[in-house]
Amino acid sequence: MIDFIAPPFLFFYAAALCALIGSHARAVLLLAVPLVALAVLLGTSFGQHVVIAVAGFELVFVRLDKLALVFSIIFCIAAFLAGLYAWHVRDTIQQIATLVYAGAAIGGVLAGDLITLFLYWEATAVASVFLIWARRTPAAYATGMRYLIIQVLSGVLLLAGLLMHYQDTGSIEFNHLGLISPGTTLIFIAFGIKCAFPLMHNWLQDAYPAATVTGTVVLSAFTTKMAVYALARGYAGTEILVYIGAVMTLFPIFFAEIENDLRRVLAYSLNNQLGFMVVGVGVGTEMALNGTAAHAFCHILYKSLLFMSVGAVLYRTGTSKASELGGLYKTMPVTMVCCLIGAASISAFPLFSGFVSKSLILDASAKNGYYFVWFALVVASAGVLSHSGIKIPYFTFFAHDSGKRPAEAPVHMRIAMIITAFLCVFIGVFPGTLYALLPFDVDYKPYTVSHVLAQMQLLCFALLAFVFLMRKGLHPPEVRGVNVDSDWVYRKAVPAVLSGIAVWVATRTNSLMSLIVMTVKSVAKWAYTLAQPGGLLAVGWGVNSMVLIVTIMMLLVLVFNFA
Amino acid sequence: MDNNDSENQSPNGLPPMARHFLWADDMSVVQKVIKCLAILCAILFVLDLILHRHAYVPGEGIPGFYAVVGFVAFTLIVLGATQLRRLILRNEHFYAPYSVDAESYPEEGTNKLSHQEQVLLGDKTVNQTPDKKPNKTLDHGQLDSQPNKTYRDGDNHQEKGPR
Repeated sequence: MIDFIAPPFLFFYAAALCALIGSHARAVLLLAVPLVALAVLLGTSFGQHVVIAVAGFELVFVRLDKLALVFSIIFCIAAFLAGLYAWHVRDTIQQIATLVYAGAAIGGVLAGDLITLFLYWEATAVASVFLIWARRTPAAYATGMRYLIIQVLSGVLLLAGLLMHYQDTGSIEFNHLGLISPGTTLIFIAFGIKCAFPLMHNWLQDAYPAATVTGTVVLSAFTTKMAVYALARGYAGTEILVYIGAVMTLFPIFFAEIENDLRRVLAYSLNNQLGFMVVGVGVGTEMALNGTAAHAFCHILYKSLLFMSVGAVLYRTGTSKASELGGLYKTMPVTMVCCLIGAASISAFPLFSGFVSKSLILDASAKNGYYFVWFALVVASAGVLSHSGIKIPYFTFFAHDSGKRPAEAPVHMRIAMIITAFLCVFIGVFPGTLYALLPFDVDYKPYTVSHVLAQMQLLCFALLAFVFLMRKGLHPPEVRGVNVDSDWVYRKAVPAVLSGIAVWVATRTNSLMSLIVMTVKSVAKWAYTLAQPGGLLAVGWGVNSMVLIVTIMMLLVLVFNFA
Repeated sequence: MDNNDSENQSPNGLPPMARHFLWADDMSVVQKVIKCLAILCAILFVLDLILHRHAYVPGEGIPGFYAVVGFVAFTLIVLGATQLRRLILRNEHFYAPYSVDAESYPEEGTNKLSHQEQVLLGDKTVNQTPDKKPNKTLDHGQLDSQPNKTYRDGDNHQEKGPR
């Protein structure tokens, strides 16, 4: 039975059906399919299902265990909320792309072998790019191409890695891999690209702000968390991940702080949150992996909520640039409150979802002796407050009055935001419900005096620092502009160097060519002077001189013959 | 909505929920909120001296550890970011035309309705505008006496670039 109604397949059936039905029915489908898929998931027993033999390989399309379950549940919820938020969208391409993308991401999480994973890995790349192209501007097309190239590169590395791994071990199973061979290293890099490791991260900040209002909400949920899941499955306990994660939590903070486009601020913030999850994977203990899964779960919700609220502002005002916004709380109060709840959740205020998930990772890193990493995470937590907790709501809804008086977000957007906000608070207040879903048994109490006091001190004093910096005029103002990140290398430097080399080669070729032409010309001219009427070669020779020359030549032959 | 500004400023023209937040514009109330924050910080600091906080990491148990880290880290991040901006900020057109930074969000994907228009038309009209085909009845030109310049942020590309 499950063979036909496996959750990823449901999304693909719906996507195919979209081609035949009207726009309203499509919007209903976007809401219904995630719910049906969720029901099917919850009704499926743990173990391997839908095993199909292809060319001697056993492809496992559904491998359900607790780790896969928690990720696929949150993917279904995210797909439902994104569908609700996008209720007004009548663009068939976006609707089909959303369904295929969500289905592929769930498929990736449920994949029991590397070949199936590869198929879904590429499917997410190809489906998601249409959410960027759906903006339908030349710039979005160019951005989509950059995104697609990097995503497909990740897929190609995964394929190369899995082939080498198969050569080494004869197995395509997707379980713990570890950094043990060139093959698994390639797979690790493939996962790292999708997980936006430092210096492989630029696709994220480049592409997400370029997608449509609703497309960004969809994008924010799936690709990167699928990569986190893949890392947790294949590389739990790989120590280098602890340090990669720590760097990931820190560096995007600085970029987020000065970025003007709020959707890009959120993309940097997303990168920072992935860092926490990657640290959890690197630590690799049961508690740390629980923390990663829990944080991914909460993160998808509050990040969607933040993207939804900024998206609603973009939908109503036509801009998501902080320099153009401010004072919107007056006419968008519901959006503002939802945004504040998202901000409180990501900042990990007690009673909000981030608090109950992030502290698992922090405690796991401290308990395992990663003190410097732990300290980096504490600092990064203060940084999260700065860009996502304060900057997003403050510069959008308060700060200086932009004079804009946009209408409140449409009803369906408000409902989507309110449900998401409710979930953020619910998880924060009743962490047990989330903990019950986690891959390992949880023996952890987030609400202890130590935790609450520590976190409240950290956040309140950070808020105090914000007040202090604003008063002193030290907080950077929001200005329009582009902040150059490491993608400058492939967007500016490499093209400039390549075109420099091309020009150099072209000029050198030109001068070489003209030298050759000149040489040939002068030789021809010289030959012509010799052969022209009256020239040396054109003179008629007398018999005497001919005999003389022949005699001399015969003499020479004789001399050389006997010498 | 320059022409509607005075009307919107009065609490009566605003959504009921927004009226609870109008204090955000009142500097004296904001001062009080900041005072409350300062008092809260002081209380938390004192509590840290009194209560035992379980510490895993050496140094974490020092009273006020999180307070100092919170304040200093936040300040250094903001100041560091300000310095970083001096290095990396470029004109919005730096990557144009291959980047969305310089272009305005396409009109078809938005529904730029002002609060005033929403009140006039009723909330239900809001959902009738599909993503691709803007509803003609909600066009700005018909409802505003003057074109709404503040909304079209991306039209005038050259004006505000930092360099």
